[in-house]
Amino acid sequence: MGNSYIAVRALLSELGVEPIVPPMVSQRTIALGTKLAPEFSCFPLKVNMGNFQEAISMGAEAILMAGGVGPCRFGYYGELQREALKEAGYEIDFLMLEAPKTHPRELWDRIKKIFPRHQPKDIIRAISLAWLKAKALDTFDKRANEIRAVEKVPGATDRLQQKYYQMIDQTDLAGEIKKYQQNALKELNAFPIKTDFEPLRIMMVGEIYMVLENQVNFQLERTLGRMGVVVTRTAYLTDWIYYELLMSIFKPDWRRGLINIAKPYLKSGFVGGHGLETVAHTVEAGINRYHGVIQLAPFTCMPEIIAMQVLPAVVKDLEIPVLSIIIDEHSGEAGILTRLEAFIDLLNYRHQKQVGGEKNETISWG
Amino acid sequence: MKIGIPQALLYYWYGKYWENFWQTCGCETSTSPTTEHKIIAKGIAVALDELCLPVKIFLGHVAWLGSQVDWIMIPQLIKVEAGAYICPKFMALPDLVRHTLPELTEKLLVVKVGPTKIDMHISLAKAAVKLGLNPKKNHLAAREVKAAFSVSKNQIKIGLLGHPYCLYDPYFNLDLLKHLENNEINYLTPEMMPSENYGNGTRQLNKDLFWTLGRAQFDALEWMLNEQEVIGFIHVTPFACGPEAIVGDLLKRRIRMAGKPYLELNYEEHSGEAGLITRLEAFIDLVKYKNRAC
Repeated sequence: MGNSYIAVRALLSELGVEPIVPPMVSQRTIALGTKLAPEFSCFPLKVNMGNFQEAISMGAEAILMAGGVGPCRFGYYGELQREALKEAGYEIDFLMLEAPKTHPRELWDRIKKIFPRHQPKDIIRAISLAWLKAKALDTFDKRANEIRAVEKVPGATDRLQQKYYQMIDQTDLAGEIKKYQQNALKELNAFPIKTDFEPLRIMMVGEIYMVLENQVNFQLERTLGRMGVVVTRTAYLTDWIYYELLMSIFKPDWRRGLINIAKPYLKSGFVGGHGLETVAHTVEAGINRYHGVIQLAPFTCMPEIIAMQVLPAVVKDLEIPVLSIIIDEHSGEAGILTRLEAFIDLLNYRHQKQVGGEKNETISWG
Repeated sequence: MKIGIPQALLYYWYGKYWENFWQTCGCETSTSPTTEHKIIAKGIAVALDELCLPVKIFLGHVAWLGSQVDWIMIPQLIKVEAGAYICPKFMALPDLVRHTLPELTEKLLVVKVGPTKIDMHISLAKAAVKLGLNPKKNHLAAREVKAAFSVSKNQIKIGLLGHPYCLYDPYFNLDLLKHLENNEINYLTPEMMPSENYGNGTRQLNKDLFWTLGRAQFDALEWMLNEQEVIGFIHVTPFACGPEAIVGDLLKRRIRMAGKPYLELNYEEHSGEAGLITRLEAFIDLVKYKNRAC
């Protein structure tokens, strides 16, 4: 899921197992996954199935998978994937991170069996290192999305980002991570930037996997950045961990803010998955005078469909243009790009009309 | 006061109970007719393409009731049993109606069941109190089992799996049940299962399913396999149904393990009857042939 592999790799290495990171999602991954996954299952499941098969062919012996209790389908991914892989003839251990049906203790036993280093202090160290890495990556990405739109040297931000990812991935020392982060941010902020135009600001909302995984959303952030658009992503790995995992335990009511902001449009509140977040963030974008919103959803995703049905009302009330993009294994890059360019053209036109300024010629399609 | 009840979605489970409740409160009820072309057309016209056909049908029924009643009951069924949801679309049903049929916003009577308090009667009573009515205790069982079954010995039996609003809405499934009867096939549906079998099928899964309708199908499947001499299965699903994508795959695997023939029928608004009949006849031929060969 995006760059989260870096944090997870750190976590697992610290626990004493050798993590196998499957290659970046490619057409091959998607083809492999689609072969085993049910036809109408959502796209993340299919991609995951492909990832697993590639990891197994690289020698993976166990799969670590999170669970849940619905109503989003993600909670049942693990069960289905285990069955499907078994049927396809793969011999693989599944470690499900969730409360087992029989007894909570059983989860601990399973963890002990797989991880050689399972003392509390090992686990704390592993988690804190992984957290530090994830935080370092997300902090950089947030800033990179702003700089990319106005950089004078095309591609400079992306090159720095690649280098930075590698450096963070290779180090295991907390001090180095902090140092790299400071240096990279300093370098990023020193990039020469264009000051002669005001870039469009777009908020990227939708299902978390689609938003985070660059390989399946056709590098949306990068593409938009090159078109001179500042992208605000609403989902980050660290935010997700902070809210969904930690806050759910210590402050179960953390969603209240989102529910309130979405209330005029979505009275039901939580509708599973990221449906509520999508609506709430779109309202937020409208109030904060963003120029547009792009919603990403996998085909057949139930919560996002609800959001999609609700969004036209938000669009009307707050006058914020929204582009919904549905992605599955049949999506083509050219199609997505065409729609993006048309959308950005429209936003530019609208923006200029509002500002009333001269026509802006500096924006070039990368 | 006239209360409209859309004959769609889980009306097929709770409809009689709802009607009875409002009548004992002293209201007049009006149930929309069984689905017809006009209703589906209206639903499709107002809804987003991505929504599934049953929800579109529901919206059509709501629109049909619109001009004829004072209130339209919208069941927002978040949970009807502990530990399981129905579907996100059921959770957001009032929102879907408000955004597709904004002219009816004033008339909606939302009956919210769950997520913490799961009791159909209390939810209905709350809605009734809001209207200034005095709700009375209702002695009917909430989940009305729709069909009692009688099976003659010498006919072959086919198990039908699917959500109740897929199986019992003849316009949705293009008269599937009638076609089966014409072919002299007996069918069993999950609703025919005696209530003591609840939970038998789901218990065998590694992880509890968190969709009520999925659970019902698993229980029914186990009952059909073990206690009834079912020789084939038909799974009726709406096109692109979220929970059914997962549940269907698990059901299929279980049926394959038992070595029974299996037919999956996907429905959406463009389904054609000729295509259905061809596939159904081919399946029935296969089932009969297999049955004779054994």
